[in-house]
Amino acid sequence: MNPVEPADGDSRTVEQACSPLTRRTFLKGSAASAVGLAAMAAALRPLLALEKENLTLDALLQRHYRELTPDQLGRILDRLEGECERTYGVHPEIRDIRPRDGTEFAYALNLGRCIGCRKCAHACLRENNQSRDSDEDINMSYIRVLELEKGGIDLETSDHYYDPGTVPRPGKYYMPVQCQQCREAPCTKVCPVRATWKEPDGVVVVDYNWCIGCRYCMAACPYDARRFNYSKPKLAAKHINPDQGYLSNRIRPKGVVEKCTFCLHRTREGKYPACLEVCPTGARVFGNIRDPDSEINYILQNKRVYVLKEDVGTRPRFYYFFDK
Amino acid sequence: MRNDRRTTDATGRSGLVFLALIASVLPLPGGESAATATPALPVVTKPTPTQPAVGLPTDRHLDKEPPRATHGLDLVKMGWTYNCMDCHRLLEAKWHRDAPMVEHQNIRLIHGENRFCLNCHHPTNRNAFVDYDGSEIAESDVVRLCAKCHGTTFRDWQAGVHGRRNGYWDTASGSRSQLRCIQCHDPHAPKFPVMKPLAPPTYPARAAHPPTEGRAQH
Amino acid sequence: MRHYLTFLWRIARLSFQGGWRFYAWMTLLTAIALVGLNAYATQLVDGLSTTGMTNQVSWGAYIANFTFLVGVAAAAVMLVIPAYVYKKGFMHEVVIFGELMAIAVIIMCLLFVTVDLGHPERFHHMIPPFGMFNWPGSILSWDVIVLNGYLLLNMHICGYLLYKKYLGRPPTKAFYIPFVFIAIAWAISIHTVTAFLYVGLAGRSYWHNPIVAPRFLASAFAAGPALLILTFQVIRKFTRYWIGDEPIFMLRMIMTVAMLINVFLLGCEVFTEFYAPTAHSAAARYLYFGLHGHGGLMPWIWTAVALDFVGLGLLITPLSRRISWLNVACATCFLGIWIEKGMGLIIPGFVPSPLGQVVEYLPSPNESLVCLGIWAFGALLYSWMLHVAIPIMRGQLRANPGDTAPGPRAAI
Repeated sequence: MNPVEPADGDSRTVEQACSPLTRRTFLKGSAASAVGLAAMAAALRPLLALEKENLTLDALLQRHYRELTPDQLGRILDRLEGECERTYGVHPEIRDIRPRDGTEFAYALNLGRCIGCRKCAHACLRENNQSRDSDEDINMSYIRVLELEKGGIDLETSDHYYDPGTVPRPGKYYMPVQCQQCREAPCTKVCPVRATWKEPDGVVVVDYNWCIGCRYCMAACPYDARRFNYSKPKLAAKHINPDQGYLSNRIRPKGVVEKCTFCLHRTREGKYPACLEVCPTGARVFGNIRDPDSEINYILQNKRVYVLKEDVGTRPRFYYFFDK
Repeated sequence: MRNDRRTTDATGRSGLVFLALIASVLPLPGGESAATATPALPVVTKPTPTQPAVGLPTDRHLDKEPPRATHGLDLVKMGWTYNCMDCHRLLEAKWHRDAPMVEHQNIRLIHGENRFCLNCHHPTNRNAFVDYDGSEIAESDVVRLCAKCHGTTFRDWQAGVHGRRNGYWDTASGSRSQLRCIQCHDPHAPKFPVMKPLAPPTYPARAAHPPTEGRAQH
Repeated sequence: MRHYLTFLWRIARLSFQGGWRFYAWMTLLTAIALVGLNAYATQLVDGLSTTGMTNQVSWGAYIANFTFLVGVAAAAVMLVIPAYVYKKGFMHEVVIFGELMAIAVIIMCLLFVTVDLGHPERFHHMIPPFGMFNWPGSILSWDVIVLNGYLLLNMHICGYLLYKKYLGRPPTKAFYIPFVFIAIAWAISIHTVTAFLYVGLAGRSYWHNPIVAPRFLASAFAAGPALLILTFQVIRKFTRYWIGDEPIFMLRMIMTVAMLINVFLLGCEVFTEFYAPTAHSAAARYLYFGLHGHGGLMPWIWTAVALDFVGLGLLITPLSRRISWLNVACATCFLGIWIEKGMGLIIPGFVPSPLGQVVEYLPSPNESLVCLGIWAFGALLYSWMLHVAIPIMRGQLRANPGDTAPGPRAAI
């Protein structure tokens, strides 16, 4: 069955078997090499359009956020402010805001009150400088509002795109979902380069200058809370919020993952997050869980709360409850 | 949302008639003479709002407007004052709401068992609300009035988990405002009204097979 | 050292010498690879928006191909185990081709991971001490270690054996036998770790399933040998290297068993998902029957099922004792498993999304070109390695041409 005979005994070397290196073969080889190189150059031509402006050695050699000295970080913040101004025409103030001592954040959301108006999802964009094609485009919002059938909590039949004349619709209720800032966060566990981690105040953050964009964290997240910058963020100057944090709402580079940080540039200064500020029904409650007199502790002690997908073992810092 | 809007031409005209009518018998406050009431109306400055400002001035990019916006009474717009007793001095206090000639026509009392005007409004001083013992509750203290019945809600409100707080969660760092009952609820019909939702997300442009019929179902 | 440099120089020269078929084949592959490179350059400039991936389906064809190819690379052990553990002499003629294939395929795997990155220029963040390697926490960091380790092991084994063959000296057992046995365990580990990439994600119920790892291995040990058998046919047809029927039928037997286990495990999964469906069965329902009017994967998966069963049918019947039918069985199994493990395993993990959205995925044209380019590059690499290795194995490329050429059955 074997079509070729055993070749034992063929003792010619390859050099003997193949054509020897002559002037003619050399010229042919050279011509082929030239064609090959030209083809290679042609293949790489699109790279000419690469934005080299922000592709500096400084950026390339930047260390992980947690290894930076205050000095280095200061220079990086200056550089990032300059980049933002050059690219988007707005000079922001990018700050590095550290967690406060004795503070651990938690969030609670009253599903009995939420009417599904999506003001939180839109406010998130106004605050956090996500990419958007128009004023109405909230695809990069960290908050998804789900419309669910009364009678169950079946996420699989939820509607994200509902757009009736008025909400709430009869027979439906609404559940906003955003990053749950899990205590056992699967996203930080899987990151191969520790570009995302949990801060002492419980907020899961991303170092956008360290993320390699493998999107493993997005696969790991059970709450669909992470967004990836598939292209360079599109943002009109009038939409930019100049009050920015290094770990939160500064404008992200292309090719990195971003997420809700409980608006840490606000909340670490003692303010409420943007989504809470705009909620027309007061369904959102935020506070310091280590403060026994905080609103959030009142909820945890007096209301019957639950967490989303308790079965996946993430132990969220985001609680849901039903109350009038 | 804007549930106290009351701007129909009919009420405007009847308001004028009413104004002319009672102007002849009553001295107007502020010493203005009845002759000046028409056609040039006096400029009325609104009294300082009794509800505090909402949120921080730095958060201009966030729409923190409370859900309920009142637009004032027609008579006030016509140049009347906010002193309810200007009219109610004449009109006897009634437990039941009857059909008023001019003002308050749009009020529909849909507040469950709470169906008498004087359950909340003070019988002799209509500028104030009434407490259990007949004493007055100032308008700015409206929360105390509602708390008469809604004790558990009031308790939650005090704890900051019913209604909305704005500004600083950490009061050591800055000030905090808290919405009061009637900034969100219409006291005569306190059930939250329906509202138009803001724009939804779209089926991702790059994704395969976008839904063909109208908007996406899932 | 001088010998080694001469060896490298002669290999380099040999790389550019061959018949017209060789030139045509290599030119074709180079051209396709360059088209892929061009597509990748476009992706670098515009971002991953040139792909069909979305926030909902955040991994696509790149990771699918990566997963499948890790299995193919691991399947080299299916030549090594009979050769070194069961001492089947005839397997020694071909074992080197399996190891070379592992090298080419692992390089393809690494390329597929690299093109999937949003910031490939930050790759050094993974490498200590420049980076912050999340080990042992992240399974992806395990994967980086095992894949590169497997690459090095195979490069060492192949390089050492070929060089010794070139010198005409018998290889020293201590320098390669331990590595061969490490590589056997390592091959199992690369595919297990790759399976754990998915199994470790509790939020994705379609993947959070202990059967994924054994099914990965079973399907890999069918797809890998299938590709090897097809490669051997090519070697037999176009070179004068002698490969007997025994290795091919040994691989056929391995494939048959692996394919049976694979289909059995598939059946176990299908039973669990559909006999007692839970909220977690939505992904399987989407894959096989569609969900809420979306059924983009149905054509893929039913094609895969059909190919799998045709392949299995041929393998378990005497029909595949004929080489021509065996080739058909290999092709159908390879293609079927490629679909089943790529589009059929990766995509349903994202559909419906954890919040119940059904967002469908299809690779974009640019993304497909990048994939095609990497496949072409892998084929180019493997063709080149075979082109160089076969003359060494046949004794046509050796240090001392004066010696009598050792037969291919000797050594290795």
